[in-house]
Amino acid sequence: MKIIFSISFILFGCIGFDAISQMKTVELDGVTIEALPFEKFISGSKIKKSDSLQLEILGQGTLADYMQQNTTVYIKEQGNKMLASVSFRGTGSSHTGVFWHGINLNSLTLGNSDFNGVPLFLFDEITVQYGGASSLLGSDAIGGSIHLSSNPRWTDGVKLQLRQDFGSFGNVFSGIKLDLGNGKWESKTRIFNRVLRNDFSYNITDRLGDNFEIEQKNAEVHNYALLQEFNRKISSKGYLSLKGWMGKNFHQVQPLMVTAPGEDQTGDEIQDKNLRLVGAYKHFFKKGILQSGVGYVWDYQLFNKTDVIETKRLSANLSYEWNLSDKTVINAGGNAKYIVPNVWSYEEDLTEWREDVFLSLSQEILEHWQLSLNARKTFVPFTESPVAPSISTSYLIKAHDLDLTFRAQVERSYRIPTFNDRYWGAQGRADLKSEKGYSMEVGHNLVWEKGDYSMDFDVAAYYMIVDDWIAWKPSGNLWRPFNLKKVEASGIELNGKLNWRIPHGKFELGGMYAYNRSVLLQGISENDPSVGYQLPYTPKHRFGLNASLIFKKYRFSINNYYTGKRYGIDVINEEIDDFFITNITMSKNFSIGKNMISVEGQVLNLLDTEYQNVKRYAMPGRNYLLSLNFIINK
Amino acid sequence: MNRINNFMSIAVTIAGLVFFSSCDSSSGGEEIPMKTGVLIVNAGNFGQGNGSVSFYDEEVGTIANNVIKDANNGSDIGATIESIYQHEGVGFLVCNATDKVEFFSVEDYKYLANPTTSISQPRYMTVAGDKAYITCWGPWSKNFTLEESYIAVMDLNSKEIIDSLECGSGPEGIVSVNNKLYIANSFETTVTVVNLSDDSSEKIDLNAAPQHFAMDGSGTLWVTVSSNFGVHPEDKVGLQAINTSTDSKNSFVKIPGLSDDGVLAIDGSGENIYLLTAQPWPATETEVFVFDTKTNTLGSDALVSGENFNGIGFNETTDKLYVADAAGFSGNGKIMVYDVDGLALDNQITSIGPFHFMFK
Repeated sequence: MKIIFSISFILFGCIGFDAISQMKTVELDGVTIEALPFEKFISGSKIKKSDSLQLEILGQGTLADYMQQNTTVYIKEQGNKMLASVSFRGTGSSHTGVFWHGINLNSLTLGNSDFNGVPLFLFDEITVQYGGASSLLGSDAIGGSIHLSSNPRWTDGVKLQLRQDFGSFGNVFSGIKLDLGNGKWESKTRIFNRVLRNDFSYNITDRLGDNFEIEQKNAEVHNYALLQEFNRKISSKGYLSLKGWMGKNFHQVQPLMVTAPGEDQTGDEIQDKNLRLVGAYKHFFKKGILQSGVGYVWDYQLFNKTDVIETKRLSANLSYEWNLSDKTVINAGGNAKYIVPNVWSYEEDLTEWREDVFLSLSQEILEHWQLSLNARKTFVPFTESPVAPSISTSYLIKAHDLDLTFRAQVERSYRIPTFNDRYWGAQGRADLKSEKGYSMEVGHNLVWEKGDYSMDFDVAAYYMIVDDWIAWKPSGNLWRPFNLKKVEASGIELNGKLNWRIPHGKFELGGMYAYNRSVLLQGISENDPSVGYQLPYTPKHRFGLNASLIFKKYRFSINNYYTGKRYGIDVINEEIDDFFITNITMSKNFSIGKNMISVEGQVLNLLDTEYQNVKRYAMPGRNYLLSLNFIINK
Repeated sequence: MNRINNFMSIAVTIAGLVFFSSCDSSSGGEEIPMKTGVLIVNAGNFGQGNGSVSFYDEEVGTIANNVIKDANNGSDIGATIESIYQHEGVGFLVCNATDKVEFFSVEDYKYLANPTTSISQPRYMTVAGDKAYITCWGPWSKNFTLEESYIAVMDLNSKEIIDSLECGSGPEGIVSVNNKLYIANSFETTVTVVNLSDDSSEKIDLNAAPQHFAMDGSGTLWVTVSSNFGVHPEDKVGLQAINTSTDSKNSFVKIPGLSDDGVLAIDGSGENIYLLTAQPWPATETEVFVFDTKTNTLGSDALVSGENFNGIGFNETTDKLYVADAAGFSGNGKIMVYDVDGLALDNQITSIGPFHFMFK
């Protein structure tokens, strides 16, 4: 039984990363936004981008907040602002790639990311790509992928934003955004510090039937980070960018809800430090774009002040996008990574090389009919990793006020086993196979615009098999990982948005719904009792409803989200209640010349819902947030 | 606070008395009940607090999961359960994460008190006199070593921890024999013997990591010694006999592939010890072997075999062998019931990580 602890540690212990970037420039609203490089090759996939209002409201929040409130993707949050892992279209937490300028942030040792460890303040845009995309993005992109961007704006002059938040349970956030430039070079700086005491209260009934209000202890969070970018136009044909992100996340591990007053609430603590550096050069030729880059990632985790888990990665990439004609684009390239882990249970001097090669072809077959063929492969020592191909297509019908796009995609994706799976003491198995995803999806998107109204409505349906899913089990008296499980996931997703321009403002209404069936087809052994049941912590239903009104200098918005019931790891006996959360926000802007002050108040969990996302981990009731923003040269 | 607790325990005691007396009046007769009820501890996943207790009715052949939660208005144990113990109608659940000992009525599964919580990584317990002795790992030290292990001493009446005793690193199984405690220090290769008359202690050196004890019919104390997850070589694992009069080692029998948890069960006569073993890697099968304490020999063939065996128990009253399949803790587990010849009689689905059995 002592194994439970160590296995938990191997599988769920910590957090962490991968390499490289490519981009296309698009003019939008007068600001240069860089479309993510893979987008044109994946026109059959559903892609949703954050809007600026969503990120403004969540200015001091995390990627977990964003995903929960603005997407149908489920986030399993083990306590308030604690370890938050993702389940995208019914897949596991390591089946979603989280990318920052081409670097996959997922931990090499554990395979997943803590979505509460990714602060939104540092980024200008969040792009969520639904469905498998290993053919373009490599390992992990089985359920979907998430892309964090902060792109060149070629600022001319100085722009400064100061943000200060005060919230319930000792939540204090301070942040600075500073952009400097002369149109040819640019510096972007983002700094924040955040402290959260997290000492909210919850109610319990003890063994003798008495009710108590318990103050949550051992759940403090302290984060800070610096993100610095330099962008330099070398000529009209190319530019160089250097980006660095260093951060420290400290958090105590929120303990289980107590069963009686006085019960011990002390517990573990985790300190993560990360450094991510990317240097990229992009050159525009007459018929193509050359992209090259180098990256360095350092992930360091200290558990209970004693145990270190550390990896370092150096990577380099090169790719060329060749416009054969107006209708045909080819993209080819590769990257190489050198990885140095430092984990007490691994062999000393362990290092690893990995290489990726990829090739994509995008063809306009008829007007408005786009077809892409993509393939990618990762070479990893000892580990079988498949070629990931995909076919992606879209067809646009343009009518009077209406754009209707049909999409379809078929794809094989994969996940390389983690370093823990492959190198943990005598138990790791370097010869494990990669996990594989086989998916297909269809969807359509409707955009309608007339006068002061516009509407966007999207439907997607998917079917997916994840095979060779790795699970640990006892064998020859040690626990070892095996390619054992097989999961079938299918579902539908609806997203809709309605905009109405009104005098002096606008009104926006949004809704989303997802149904996901995710069933275990093969378990850990022949007669595994969990076969045929919905996977643990994979809700079948999620929906959200948002409305916002901007009128003159005022803004009001309401965000509601619902997460349906989940099953515990005991998928037969344990049901975890559904929950519905409402947040409201009100703000007012004051302009003083070219400068602006905004004051914002938020009421979170307005209905004071008593709920648990992960069973037996308390979540806060109604709470408040006050935000002040000073923007100089807005 | 203490006063409130005392008041509560008095209230519960009175409530309990009323309940038992009402039972008595309806039953009548002096019948001694057969032990055909089996409590199964489902350890649960670490950090999820989803440990639970199932009840298997041997006569009818049905299982009820979450019996404690269901008997207490949905209030579950909220921890990982390491072990179970019964003493005079009181059931004890020794829990990790959250570290505590829970008390429930073996009769109707109702909680008897709030848990005892001033304890660090408790593992197993035994009772001697009016005190319970609980092996505790204490907090983790660097690289998951254990340097602050101890034995917690609990007063059975007040249910409070009143004292502690020294032991080796990673104490696991514990038994009391003749006013002495035998403690298996699983992070080293020793058994600590504590003489309870003066709390003096000594250590016995063994081949590998000791785990759990069983007293055979002739009064010899056996302890499983395992590799403790690869720390000790495979040719050092097996069963060690201890003479409790002299506290010295007797015979040692190698048990190839003995499970690292070293769980074992003994039949009513004290002749046969049932042990979990695993076939050598890369095979993944687990097996049950029978060791005959009269001849000091291990059965040449496995009694039963299958995947993911995690726990073992023996119902002395009905001569039935119980084996738990924890399905790698990744989902619901199973229990299997066999007769002494290894013939499968029944199997049932449990909750997460079935591990220990207790017969009532």
